[in-house]
Order: sequence, then C-alpha cells, then structure tokens
Amino acid sequence: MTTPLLQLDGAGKRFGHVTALQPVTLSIDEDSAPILAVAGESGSGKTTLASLLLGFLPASMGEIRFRGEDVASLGRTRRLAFRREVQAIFQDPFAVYNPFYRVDHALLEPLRLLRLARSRQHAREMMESACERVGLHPEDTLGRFPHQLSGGQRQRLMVARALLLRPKLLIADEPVSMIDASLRALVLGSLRKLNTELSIPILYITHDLTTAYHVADTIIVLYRGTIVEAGDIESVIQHPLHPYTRLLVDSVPSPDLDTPWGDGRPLSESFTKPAPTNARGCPFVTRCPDAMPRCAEQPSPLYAPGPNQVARCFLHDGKPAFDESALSGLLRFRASPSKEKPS
Amino acid sequence: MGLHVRDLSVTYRTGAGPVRAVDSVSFDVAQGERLGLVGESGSGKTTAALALMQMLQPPGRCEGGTALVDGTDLLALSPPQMQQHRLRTISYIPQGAMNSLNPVHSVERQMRNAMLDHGVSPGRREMRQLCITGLAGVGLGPEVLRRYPHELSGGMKQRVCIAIGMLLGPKIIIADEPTSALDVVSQRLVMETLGREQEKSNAALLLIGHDIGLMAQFVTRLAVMYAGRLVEIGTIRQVLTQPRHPYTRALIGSIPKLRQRGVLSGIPGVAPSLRQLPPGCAFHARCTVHVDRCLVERPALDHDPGGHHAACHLRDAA
Repeated sequence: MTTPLLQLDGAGKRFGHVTALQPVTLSIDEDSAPILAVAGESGSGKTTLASLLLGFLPASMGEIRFRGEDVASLGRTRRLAFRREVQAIFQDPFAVYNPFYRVDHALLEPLRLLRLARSRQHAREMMESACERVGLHPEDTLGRFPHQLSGGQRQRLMVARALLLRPKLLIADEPVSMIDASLRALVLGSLRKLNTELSIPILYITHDLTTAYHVADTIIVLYRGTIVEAGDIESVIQHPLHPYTRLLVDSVPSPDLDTPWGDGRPLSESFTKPAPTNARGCPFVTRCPDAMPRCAEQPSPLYAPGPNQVARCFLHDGKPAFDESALSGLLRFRASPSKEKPS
Repeated sequence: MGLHVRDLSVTYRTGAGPVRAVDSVSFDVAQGERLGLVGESGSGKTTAALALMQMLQPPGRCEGGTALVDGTDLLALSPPQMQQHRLRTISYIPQGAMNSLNPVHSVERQMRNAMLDHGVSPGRREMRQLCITGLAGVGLGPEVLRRYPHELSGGMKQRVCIAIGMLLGPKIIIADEPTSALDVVSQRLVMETLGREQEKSNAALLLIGHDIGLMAQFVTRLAVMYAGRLVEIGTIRQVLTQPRHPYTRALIGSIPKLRQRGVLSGIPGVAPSLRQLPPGCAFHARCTVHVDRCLVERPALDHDPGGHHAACHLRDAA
C-alpha cells in the first residue's frame, strides 16, 4: 500500500469556542485523479478545510500528513516539496498579487525558483501558452500591473500559474466564482484537462453546485463544519439525501422559465435568523423542514442508503451506518467516464 | 414614468486613445418592470449603470445620450442636482456588498448619512424609525442598526445595501450583480427580498448580471450587451426561447445546468479588445454563422413589432 499524498486524520478546527470544522478523516492519493468537490454555503468550513490541507492553519485536533509526515513539523526540504506539489488557486484574485510588480512576476517567480524554463524565451513561451489555455490574450495580459486587469483576468492568470507548475494536487478554492459564465467552461475545462492528462487530483471548493456537478466526480457537502452528505456527484445532485443538500440543489436558479426557483415558496423566516452555534444535535435542525425532536438532541451518524452515497441524517435511520474513516474509499472512485476501479 | 435611456455613450480617454465602453445604448424600463442586462465582463453593463448615476470615474466620460425619468434628463443634471436625485429618484445597489459598506461606521450611521447626504433630514426619531422600517423590509431586525459590517454575513450586508438603496423610495433601482459573491441559498434570500421591495414600491428595476439562470427566475425582460453595444432585447421568454442574436444563443448555450453532467460549453474565442474593435459586427470573429457582410457593416438594432429587437444581419435568415 502506498502512502497517500495528503491525509487528514481526524483533523478539525476550532476558533475559540466555535468549531469551524468537525474532525474529518480523508486521504488523497497521488495519481488517483478524482476531482472532489467540497460544497457548502459561506461559513460551512470549506475554506477552513482548504487551509488545513494547505498547512496554512494548524489543526485543533487530529493530524494532517503529507506523504506520511505531519505537515506541522515538516523539515525545510520536505516543506518545499509540499509547497510545490500542493498548489492552490484562491478565491480572491485581488490579494494574491503584489501590486508593485507586473503580473508576469507571479508566473516567472515559480518558474525561476523551480528551474522549469530553459531560457528567458522558453519562459515567455510557457507563459503565453498557459495564458491562452485559460482564454487570455497574452499581449493584453502579460506586462501589465494587477490593477490593470479585471478580477476575472487575474483569476485566470492564477489558473495559468498552477498549470505551469504541474503540481501533484491542486486545491482550487472558488476558482471561477468571479469569472463570467461564458468563460467558466474554459477554465473548468482546463482544470479537467490538467486532471485527466497529468493525473492531478483536484479539490474543488465551491458554493456553486452547478459547476461542481460538471467538473467533479465526487462531492462532500458541508454545513456549519459538518459533513452532511458525500458520495458520487451524480447521485448526490440528482437524488440528494440530506435536507440541506436538497435545499442547495433547489436554490440553483434554473434557466428554464417553467421551472420555479426553489419549491416555489419563499424561503422560510428561519433563514433570516442565524442558526445556533452550540447546538448539540444536527446543525441544520432550526432550518430543516423535516426536523424531528431527536434531531435537536443528538447528532446523527452517517448512514449509507445507497452504494455510493452517505448522509448524516436521521431520516435514513435504519439504513446501514457508515464508518467515517471509510469516506476516502467512497470518494475515490470515478463517476465518469465509467473507469471505476475494481474493488 | 419609468426610465427611458436613449443613445447612451461612454468613452474612456486612455493613453492609448479613446475607448468606447458604451456605444449608443437605448432601452426603457417601465414602472414595476424588471429588466435584466447581461453580458460578459467588459461588455459595458456596469459602466452604463454608473453613467446613469453620474458616478463614472475619470477617465470615463459620458459622451452623449439622455436618460429620462418623469421628464427629467438625469444625464443633463449638474452634480449637486444629481445628488438630490440619487436615492430618491434612482438608487444603485452596488456589486460586492463586502466592499461597499464603510467598515468603521455602524449600519445606523450609514443609513442616516445616506439620508442626510441626499437632502432628507427628518427628525432624529423619525430617521431611526425609517431605518428600522427599512431593515425590517429586508428581513433584518433593529439590532442590526448597532452592528458594524464585519459583524454581518455577506448576505446580511447585501440586504443592508438593499435597505439603504430603498430608504427614500426610489422610482428606479439599479442592482449591479447584487448576489455575485453569495452562495445559492443567500442569493435566493437576497433576490426574494429585492423582488418584494421592488413590487411594494412599484419601482422600475434594472438588474445587471451574467447569470442567465438568475435572470430567468427574476426579470420580465432581458437585454444583452456585447462589446459596449446592445445586441438583443425582448421579453425574457422571447430572448431565452427564441434568441435571435448568435451571441445570445451562445450565451444561453454556455449556462451550466444540473443535467447532462460533463457537458460544458463556453463561447469560443475571447471578446474583442474595446481598444481595437473590428469593423462590422463586433461578434463576427466568434460567430459560427457570420457572412461577408458581418465583417464590414455594423448591424443596427432592428425594429421588431413584437418588441424583440436584435442587431444581426442574419436576423431573418436565422
């Protein structure tokens, strides 16, 4: 058995008395090439999860391991390898550039540090082709300062930068939320290409279920720091098992004029009030249309009503319980194009 | 009544020459109506809105056109006059609520300042009451008045922005991608709020965005911009079910749906640089059905009797 590239072992995060992320056990193998979506609303803990995986935040409980070693205590060489092999694309394309340098700097610096280009000319060519792959005119982009580019252009340049480095794992935190719909397909397409051609697994963190649906193979749905549903993306989106996932799916505005938004009814008043932060039971209980008395009393375990899908909801009580540590196995298989690994 | 825009043009005077960001754009929004305005980034949607508000920053300049509201041309007003019309006649709800509230002032202070700055000075108690009513309209309690922006979630901040925009009962509301940074559930809540407030006041609403799904669920008419020009306008049903401009068709084709996994189509090519627009139709280089005429002659918006106008030489052939 090979050591996973990156592994969360019961890793979670608390900020003060608020648990931003309940312990998660999950491992990502090198060359395994699934695209795993992590979906949830703001405050669901999806960015916290990304920050833990990137080693930006220490875990409050559990451990995060890079090739078997605790990320918190990596030596210099190993840490450099970690930084190169695990690449990130961030949500905010404003904060990632140094405003005093031309944007080329953000691409040239890693090329130089990692000696990826043979010459200045070669570096230029690599940069230009990377730009074109994400739909940017190199002549309109390179040589400019960050403030001269739109947020969308800057974000696409970040995808280009990740393309240049050929990492082992890509963590993309809302990479297309600031890009036009007509260009999203292009960016998501290049992420997919990166994934299939170079076998780079991608963690796609988003609140946008539609793009997640098209780009990812499997999905984890987070709600207030808790994994409420996980599994094969086709099953989760078409047949959500947790009421929160159902709400998320229903809230995507459909371009079909005859499909009402949501269930046609306005969101209940409970949504204008913040949910309790220290509830003992299910975090969704105050907003759940199907809440039962026991939901407020105790947290539900994960149930596995289907072969490729688990949900943390008492509605599925009676179905087989699911061992949390087996989550990686559930998420590793590829949904399409039917390349399921024999188990 | 309503908003009647004719031949609105905006030019940015840059070092590399003038750039026409909005080119002779005309549209109407009637009272109680919701018009959506879609297009890619850089198509001029926000610039057009800012021009209507007289909020363009140099080197941007409104070079012509009229914007009539109740007989008044907003574009002809002096800055102090326009100041009196903002919030009372026309309100702008900006993109990205995160950045549009002042982080060092409480919500109440910002709401009060908004009223004072636009020439309304009711008594202190009355002002407080207006603020409370305004927040209640967007589903927020009076306790939010004392809060600072960092204490509010993104959806709450956006609803505060809507409350400020609606404070003085404007006849025209321009909402510029009010939910672009929000998750779908908050988005639904914010749009429900905006829709309810707009219906209550029977205001004309211009919704700017690029999410056609959102438009389909919210607006009654839709306008499509490309490279600073209006290329199609009609009722939402006309535009979505029988798009007449190839760009509109491509735009609709690029909407990801929660069906047919993995089928993601974008629009090939990139939007032309406004600095050097091609002659003829600005879309021809990306258009799969263009003819020779498209390369030389710029199509004008036609006058369709059904109110579904398009700027395309192939309008009848397609």
